[in-house]
Amino acid sequence: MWKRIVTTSLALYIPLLIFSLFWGYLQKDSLIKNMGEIQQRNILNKSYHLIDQSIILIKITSFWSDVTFNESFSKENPLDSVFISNYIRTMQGLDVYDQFRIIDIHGDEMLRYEKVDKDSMAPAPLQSKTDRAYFQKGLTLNKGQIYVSPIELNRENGVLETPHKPVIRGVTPIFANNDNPTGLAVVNFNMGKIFDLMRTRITGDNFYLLDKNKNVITTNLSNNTLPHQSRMSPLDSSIKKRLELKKLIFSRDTFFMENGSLWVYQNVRTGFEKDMGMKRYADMPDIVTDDDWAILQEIPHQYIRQRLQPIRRNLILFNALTLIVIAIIAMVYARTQKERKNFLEQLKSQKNALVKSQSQLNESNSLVKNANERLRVRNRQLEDFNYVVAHNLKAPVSSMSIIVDMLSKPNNQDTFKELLPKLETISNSISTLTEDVQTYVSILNNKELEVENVNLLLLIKEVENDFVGTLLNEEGKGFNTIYNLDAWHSVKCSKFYMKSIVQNFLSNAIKYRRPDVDSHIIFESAWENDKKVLYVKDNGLGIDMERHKESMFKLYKRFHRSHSGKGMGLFIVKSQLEAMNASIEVESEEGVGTTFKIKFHKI
Amino acid sequence: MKKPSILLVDDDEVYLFVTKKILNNLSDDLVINTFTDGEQAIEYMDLCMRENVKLPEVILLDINMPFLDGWGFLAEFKKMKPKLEAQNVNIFMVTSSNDPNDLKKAHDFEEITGYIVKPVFEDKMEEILTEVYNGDW
Repeated sequence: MWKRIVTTSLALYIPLLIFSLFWGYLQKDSLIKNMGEIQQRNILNKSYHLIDQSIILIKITSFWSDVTFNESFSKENPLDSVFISNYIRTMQGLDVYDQFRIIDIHGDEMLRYEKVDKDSMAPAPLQSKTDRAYFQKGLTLNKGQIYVSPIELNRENGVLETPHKPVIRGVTPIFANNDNPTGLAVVNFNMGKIFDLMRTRITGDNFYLLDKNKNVITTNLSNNTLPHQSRMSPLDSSIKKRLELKKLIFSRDTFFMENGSLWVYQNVRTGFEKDMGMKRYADMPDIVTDDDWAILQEIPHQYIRQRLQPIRRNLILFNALTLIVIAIIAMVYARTQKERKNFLEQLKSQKNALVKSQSQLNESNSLVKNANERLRVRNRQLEDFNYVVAHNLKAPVSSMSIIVDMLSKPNNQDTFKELLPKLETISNSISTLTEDVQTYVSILNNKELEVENVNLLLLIKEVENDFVGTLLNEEGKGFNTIYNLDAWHSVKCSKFYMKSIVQNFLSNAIKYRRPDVDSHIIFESAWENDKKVLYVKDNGLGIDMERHKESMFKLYKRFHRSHSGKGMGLFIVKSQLEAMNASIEVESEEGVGTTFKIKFHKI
Repeated sequence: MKKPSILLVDDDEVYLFVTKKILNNLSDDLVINTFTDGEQAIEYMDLCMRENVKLPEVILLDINMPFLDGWGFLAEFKKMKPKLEAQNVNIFMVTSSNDPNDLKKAHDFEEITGYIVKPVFEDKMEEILTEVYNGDW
């Protein structure tokens, strides 16, 4: 029963399990894709902060490439104070605007304004920037070209300013009336605020702004900006290590799963290159830069797991429900099957019982039939007995009554002498009759007949030996006993009766043989209608069947006047056979022989 | 006129002796033949026919006998009846049994004149002879 339930459950459940896992996988895939797309939009938004600042920087810087300076412009002969103070007053309202400088072609600052407070800028002591990369780069620019520097930590007098300040610089060459290069105008933007904006999270995501060498410019995991330009803290090192991603070899926009996290990488489209086809800088001067930025968003393992939680929960819930339903179905199915099996078995056993009772009925029918047959035989035997008694006993009695009647009349002495011996004859015949009747009654009354398997061959041989002396007649004709007991040779019967029967047959065959021929008696066994049959054939005198058919097995019947006999033999044979539930028939022809057929019914 | 002829057929010799004695008591002029079985009796009848001897007018026939019983005798007698010409043969079945089967069987034989149950006393015998011979015996 349990085995059947488990098998049925599995057969139903496994396809559903596979289906649900596939469904789960699809859900997860689409969720990750969805998260990736959200992060792509997020990256795009963050890019705009950078791009906006870059546009502003470029536009503000390009202002200076259009200003014409006096040929006499120098430290000693500076710009018109009203012009510059107006410019500074305008610019100091711009949050990101950090420094403005004019550097001569030797690298010495000629003018320097620094942001000193939130809304105010002030002149500051001049420095030399001869060895700074942005100064060197600026010298190579043509008129109208703008150089956008990489984002760097600000240095003053060659030393990192503390606290660290990430800056981006716009550089453009300036010219005097005679088109001689006079120096460079440099505008510094402080990117701190922008980075603060970019570091905001919309979900549990990590943000990294990378330069073209995949160095971290800023991230929301660490407070350090551009750590590789100062000193790497252990946290910064671990972050750097974290970003050594196998699937991020090329700087191409992508998103992928690695180390359990979802990574979305996208380059920042500054659009500085003119051939990008973007309209953003259509009326802009040439822009020169030697840096690229990219934004990397990481959705960490824990967050993905958290987002996948509902799917997993649904999956588990679905499977659990499915299992329960399937188990119930399987149980009902198994129970139905069992009930069906029980029902079938019940039907079968009922059928068997029916067949059995049918056969019992048949058996008892045949028993009744048998008993009926026996009763019929017994009835006939009783009638025979009655007849024998009525005739043979009444006859002498009636004779006696006549004699007595005669004797009672006045008689002479002669009559008396005559009649007296007759009474003796009567008494003798009565006593003989009584003995014979006794023999017959003993056969009829033998209720507990001793029945055994009798080997007929041995029995006949045994009887035959008793007749050794009589086997040759006066004329020297022989007498043979022939056996043909191939069909069967053993039969269940009373050995005592069977011996008496065989004795009768043998003695009759010898007694009533024809003197002029070699005589024989044949014992032949056969099967007829599943019953054992014994044929006893002789080639003796034979009997006139027309005359004697009715009397063959009756008491005191004789058929051959020439031979002495009492007329008991065949009567006894028949009675004994009937006692053993066998029957006998006879065929005979005078001068040919007699055949007895004995049919054994089951005892 | 010829003497009345009576045939007794019975295997009981005492009966034959006694019956003969009774018949002799009734009349001295009776011709009485006896046989102890049907076979001998029928052979005698056959012989009478062949020798043209007058058949007995009365046959007292027992039923139960060896060799050929009463019924057997009747069967054989039936066969010779066509040759009997006008001879009158009265057959009485004389038996010790009043077996209803025998009685019924006797009714089926038209050759049978009467059915008598033993013992046959003298007065009964007289009655029979009177019936057959109309007192002329």
